[in-house]
Amino acid sequence: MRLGTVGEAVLKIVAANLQEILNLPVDILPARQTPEFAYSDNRKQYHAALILKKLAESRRPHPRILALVSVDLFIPVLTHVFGEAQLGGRAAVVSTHRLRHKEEGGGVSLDTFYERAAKVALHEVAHTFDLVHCKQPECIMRLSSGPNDLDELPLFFCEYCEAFLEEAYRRYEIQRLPE
Amino acid sequence: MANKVSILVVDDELVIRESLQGWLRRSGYQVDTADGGSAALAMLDKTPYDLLFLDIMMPVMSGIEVLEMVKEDYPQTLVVMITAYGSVDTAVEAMKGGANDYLMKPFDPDQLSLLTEKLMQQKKLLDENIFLREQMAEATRFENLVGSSAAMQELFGMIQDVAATDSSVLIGGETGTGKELVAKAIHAKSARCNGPFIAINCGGFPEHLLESELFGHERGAFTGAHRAKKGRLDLAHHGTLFLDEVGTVPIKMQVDLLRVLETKKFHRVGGTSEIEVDFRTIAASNRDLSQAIEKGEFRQDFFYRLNVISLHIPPLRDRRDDIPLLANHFLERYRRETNKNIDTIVKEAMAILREYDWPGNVRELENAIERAVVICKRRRLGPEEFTFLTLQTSPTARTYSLEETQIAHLREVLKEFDWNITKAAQALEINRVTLHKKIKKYDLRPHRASS
Repeated sequence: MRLGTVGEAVLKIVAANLQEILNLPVDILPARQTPEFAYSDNRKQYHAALILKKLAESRRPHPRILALVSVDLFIPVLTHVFGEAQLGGRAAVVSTHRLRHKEEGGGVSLDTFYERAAKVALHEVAHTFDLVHCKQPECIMRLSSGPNDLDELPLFFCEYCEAFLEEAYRRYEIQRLPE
Repeated sequence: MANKVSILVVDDELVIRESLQGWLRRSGYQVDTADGGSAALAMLDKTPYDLLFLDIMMPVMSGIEVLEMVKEDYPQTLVVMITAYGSVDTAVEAMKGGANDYLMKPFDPDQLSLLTEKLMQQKKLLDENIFLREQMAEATRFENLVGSSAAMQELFGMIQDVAATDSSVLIGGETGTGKELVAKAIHAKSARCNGPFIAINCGGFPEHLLESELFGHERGAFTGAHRAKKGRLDLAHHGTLFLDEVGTVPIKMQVDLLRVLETKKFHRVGGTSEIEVDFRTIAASNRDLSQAIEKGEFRQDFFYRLNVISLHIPPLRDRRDDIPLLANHFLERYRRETNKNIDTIVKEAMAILREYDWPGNVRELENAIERAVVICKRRRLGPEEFTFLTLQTSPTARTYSLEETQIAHLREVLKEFDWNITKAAQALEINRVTLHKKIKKYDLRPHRASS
């Protein structure tokens, strides 16, 4: 689902990546408005936890819901977040706001931008399946704080996280796509 | 991968607690929250958190106050102070108060993850360090002598000096002061350290058994001696012989022992061949031997033989400054033995320990700490764990036996009346003859009370 002004292309690419790598069926839901209720006047940013709470209340049948937003997200203790998810919960949110630029300034190519968005989305959705940050260098669950860190991450899970994910699918009785 | 690091977030604002908890949980940490200082301290009492995120600005109890208590009672828990933007002064104050770092709200995610990683590394090193130190202490067991007081420092110096010689040493000191530990330390630092350290408690054997224990016996030397047996003198060859409670050695055997000490030769009981041995003698006594000499209970020549060098260990009540050090030393030992997470002894409890008179000296202190560790259900030893010391009759010493109660009572009354039998008998409301009979029956003597 997208909230506000998120491009059609990035939405489709994220959905395709989730479907491919997580091996789960993905629906693209109709767009909704920018979540003004989550806007903080003080910080001029959007409160990620409030968005998650709203998403989790959705009456749609989907076991997991990911929202893509273009506005900047924060949680009260942190200056900003690329995305946020309920650990072992239903909702996740990803912001494209900080993904378009390099840390040292200047824009990135569209390809890089799409890849970053897909990585953050995968990372956050995996949190909803109880996965926590991983210490393996070659794993998408590794903690990344800057956009340049994101570029270092691979677009796949390490074997441990893969195994945890499999286990979580079974636990939550998630129907996977046929191989 | 999930790790078992446990973190406590202390902040009065729910949103901060929740968002920090959520973020840390996603990194695989075990995270709990507390909404204020007292709640946090109560939780710390039960769980050994590795890391504390502590807000400086909180109503009721400020973060700085909480920090002070945490650093005092749970020194192994690392603390990161959370400050509001622009209050660097308080953060600096917190760092001086022992905080490990501080973060300004809202944190940069980069900063937070780096800091958490760094502190966990630090914690790992700290734990490793403690582990290594424990191993070291284990390896050098004789260093179990603990004390920073001037008296003990002097004693340590003496041990070093004495160890270098091969002369006989006589160690004096009340029961429980650690005479055997000192003897072991002398042995361990001496040239004989690779030889055996053979200890014998001379007060622990009836006369004839002490003889065969010391000298050994040949087969058939007496009824029941089915096999030849090596004595402790034999076993001490090339090592150190430690004669504990030497004041209880009967006069006759003092002569025999004196001869052995002088010639380094002896016969086993019932044996004819002479055995040559080479050992160093260390003796210990809690009695004043010069008084025993005056009374004719101890031979002067034997005394001079033993007392080439004399060391005196002061009673614990004369070196109260060592009590905290010793108490922590024993806490460490029993914590490890019982596998309990007990970090410290709180101030009030330490005050009780310092006040108490410790008639049983270090051994009594050790027993008190062991007992407290065993009964303690929290992470700190508090005054309630030591109530048995403040009671007049401690439950450990209390006896239910009518006879023993009677003996103790007789001793007390006799002492009170300075052994005036007539007055004591009047006070006891029994006649003098009965009291005399009881004194005889229970072998009560004026000097017993002091030993």
